[in-house]
Amino acid sequence: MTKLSLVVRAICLMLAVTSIASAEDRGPEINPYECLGRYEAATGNRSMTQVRAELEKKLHPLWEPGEPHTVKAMKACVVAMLESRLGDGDAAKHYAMAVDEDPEEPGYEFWYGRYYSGFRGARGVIVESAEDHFYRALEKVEAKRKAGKFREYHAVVEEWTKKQLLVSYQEDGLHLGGKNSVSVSGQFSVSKDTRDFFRNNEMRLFTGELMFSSSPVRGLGVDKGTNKSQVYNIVRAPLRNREEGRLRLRLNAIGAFDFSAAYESCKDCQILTYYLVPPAPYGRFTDVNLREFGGGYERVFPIYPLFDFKLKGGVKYVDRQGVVEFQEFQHEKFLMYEARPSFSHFVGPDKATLDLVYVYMDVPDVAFGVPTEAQRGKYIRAANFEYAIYRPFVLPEVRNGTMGMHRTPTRGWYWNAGVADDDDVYGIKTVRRRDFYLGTRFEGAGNWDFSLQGTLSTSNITMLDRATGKIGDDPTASMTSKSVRTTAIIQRRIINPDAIPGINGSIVDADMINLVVPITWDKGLSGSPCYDAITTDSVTNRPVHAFNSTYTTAADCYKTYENFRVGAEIWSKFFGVGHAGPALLTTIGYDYQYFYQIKKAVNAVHLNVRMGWDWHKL
Amino acid sequence: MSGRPDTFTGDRVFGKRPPPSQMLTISLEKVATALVASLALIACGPPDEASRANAGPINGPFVVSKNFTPSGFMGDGAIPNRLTVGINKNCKMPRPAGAQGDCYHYLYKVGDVKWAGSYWVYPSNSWGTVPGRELVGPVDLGPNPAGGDNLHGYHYVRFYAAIDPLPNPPFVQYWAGRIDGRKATPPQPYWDEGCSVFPGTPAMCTVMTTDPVTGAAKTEPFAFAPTEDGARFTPEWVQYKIDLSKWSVSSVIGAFGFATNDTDNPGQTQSIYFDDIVWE
Repeated sequence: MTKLSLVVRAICLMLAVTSIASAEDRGPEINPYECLGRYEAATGNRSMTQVRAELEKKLHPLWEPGEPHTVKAMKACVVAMLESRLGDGDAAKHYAMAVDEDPEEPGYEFWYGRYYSGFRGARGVIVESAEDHFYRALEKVEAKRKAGKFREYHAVVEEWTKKQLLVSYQEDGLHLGGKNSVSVSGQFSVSKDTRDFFRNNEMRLFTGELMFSSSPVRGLGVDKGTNKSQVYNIVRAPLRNREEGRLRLRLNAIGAFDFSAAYESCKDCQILTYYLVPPAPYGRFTDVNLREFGGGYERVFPIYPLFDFKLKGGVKYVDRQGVVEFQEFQHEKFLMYEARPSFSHFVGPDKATLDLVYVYMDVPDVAFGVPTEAQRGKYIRAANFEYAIYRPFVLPEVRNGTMGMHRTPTRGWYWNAGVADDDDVYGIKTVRRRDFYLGTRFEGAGNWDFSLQGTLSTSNITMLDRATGKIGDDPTASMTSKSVRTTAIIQRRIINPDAIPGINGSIVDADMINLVVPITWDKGLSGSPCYDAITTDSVTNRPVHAFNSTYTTAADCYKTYENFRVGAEIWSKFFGVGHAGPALLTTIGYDYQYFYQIKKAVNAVHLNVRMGWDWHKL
Repeated sequence: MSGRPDTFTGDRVFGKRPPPSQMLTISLEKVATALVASLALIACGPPDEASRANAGPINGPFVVSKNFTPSGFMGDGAIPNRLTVGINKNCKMPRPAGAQGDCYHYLYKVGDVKWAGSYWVYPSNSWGTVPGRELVGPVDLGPNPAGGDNLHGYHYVRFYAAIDPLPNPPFVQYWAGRIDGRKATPPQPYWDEGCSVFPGTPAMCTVMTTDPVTGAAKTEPFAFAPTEDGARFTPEWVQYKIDLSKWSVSSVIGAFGFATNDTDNPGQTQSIYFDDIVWE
């Protein structure tokens, strides 16, 4: 007897056991988990072609004449699950048929809602569609309870539904309220790290600072009157902290509106003047402070057969102080506009997603001085394409003590490629930074995930030559550089959130704990040479170089801040009591980073805590 | 967990997440339209550099603050917060009648170097790394010995200056031009260029020099270096002029500069105002 037939017989037996005649004569009462069991029986160790064959058999015919409604509901549910697995567009229709055929059963509402919360969506859950079904499931559970028809499996349906509501309402871990609600959340981050909270490329930053400070427009050489310690000191891990509060108004019919306020501070973060890079006499690092207030909108629209579309955007008022050279107390106040649309579409059992980012910071022009040097602005544009392979792979696996090749469902094998462009306008100059990347992430069947990504980062400055009208590199501070970052991440799921379909109701429920080991290597590829005018010492008559070549030559100064970095991080997620309680997400990590050209080691630490509370349901 | 059907463990349900699928017939045209619309948004980058400024020379009289930036701080000015400038901020009021451009308020807190100064240069912070602004002055000074267009120059640079009262009026030097990258440390390739013009004699537009590396003789454009001047500034606005009548000028990095020292009022903070700096 094959394993498959055993499973089918077990399912039939369970069906018989759990079947009780319905009072309304809609047929025998059927455990809705029967749907899942039949689905698993039809997909276990099968190729997609075989699963499709199973679907065809179940579809033709879908129902036999005279079948009770409850049996019809279960059959429609199985078909819906198989369709969603195969990328068949009728999944939603068959879930709806299951609900229609057995309208009192909360389990089918749960499966229907899970389809929107777990499968559909573009970079986010289709909350508005999912929550309709989840809340209906909870209402039906309550109705069952009142009618005395509450079965043991309804407790499971209730628990799983609440968990899915939690998952649906958490966005970046911030717990939100239910339908038509107001909620608040808070986030606190602190780090002492070479990288900022947005993980910008620190090698490119340091290389740019070195090239600029050593350029003819800043001190005519970084080593003028100073020493190699300036080159060494540019690498720094300032103390940063950021606090953010957010109020979210979610209206089921419209979407989510956010109102947020944030404060960020970075201690000894910015070089006050590139003429005097510390530890040059009178040179020092200065603090940077940032305040933000703003509003935003977010919603995922299921607009199939086109795609699922996430619309996310907002406007923030930003007050930034400390980033203007020489002017450590100068405030820049401006509006920041942000749009982040995402599109996703299923390709058979796989999923393709396109993310776009557009940010414009309307930094005010300097109100005085030369008009053509006073213009300011920042533009960030990015596009990311991800292809997620969800079909099972034939992988080696030990079963019953024997190693064999088995078709194994995984959590997905993701491929992504993208480009990001970050441009700053300074008068007739534009500082251009670009990233091109290609990466893959394999989320295994077990508790291990692996990812590998290569990123090519470039930087240069273009400017208008006002004499000739031509646009080219800035001759006063050529800051062209190109580097590659290789990132490998190994992740062990100590507590896998997907393995916990329900919630246990304890005061603090650990939903996820991951151990993450990120490894990066930054390698310089090319760059403009640092300024190195050669003069003759009047006493010794020997040549004197403007650039200190202790670590690299001026021609190779783009390599100065090559480094490798390895760390360990713990990512965790906790839920509080009940589905309206707080969600707590924490990330804590330590990284060792070694800049091997300058022989400098940095011990970096960072902590992030995010917490949300349901405040008031309207 | 009570009540969970033992056939369906959480691991089987969620641990191996079934891939979402929703393959439907889609209109490629619609998809393309939506993507093009989104990419159009993404394409909104910074304006082209050429659209941010006009190329070519400055013709005729000009206001210094609209073309040159007070970015070359010298002496104690090279030390943060020793010499600070407020532009259109804390200016001496009322401004001179008909004043054009920005007004400036310099505050000099004396440091170890005992003098400080500032240069209005183009582009910012250039000490001769790149060429300066090309100028075509309003005064026709006759033919260019090298041929081509006639030489042009300016009558003078005029400006207003004043101080906050001090026990002794400080002697402040001021000048126009005089940036010579060849004399910088390390040397830079550009300098203010012009011709020395004396009535009745040919204009002196080039000079013979010796290449410091090869020792070979070569001809270079003449440096535009009108004689610097100075005055004891007073608490009242006074207009000063720098005579440019004996010069033609073709390219300028440093349009205006000043320097003050600690001699007249040792240790005392100096508050100096400039306004209406104009070449004409």
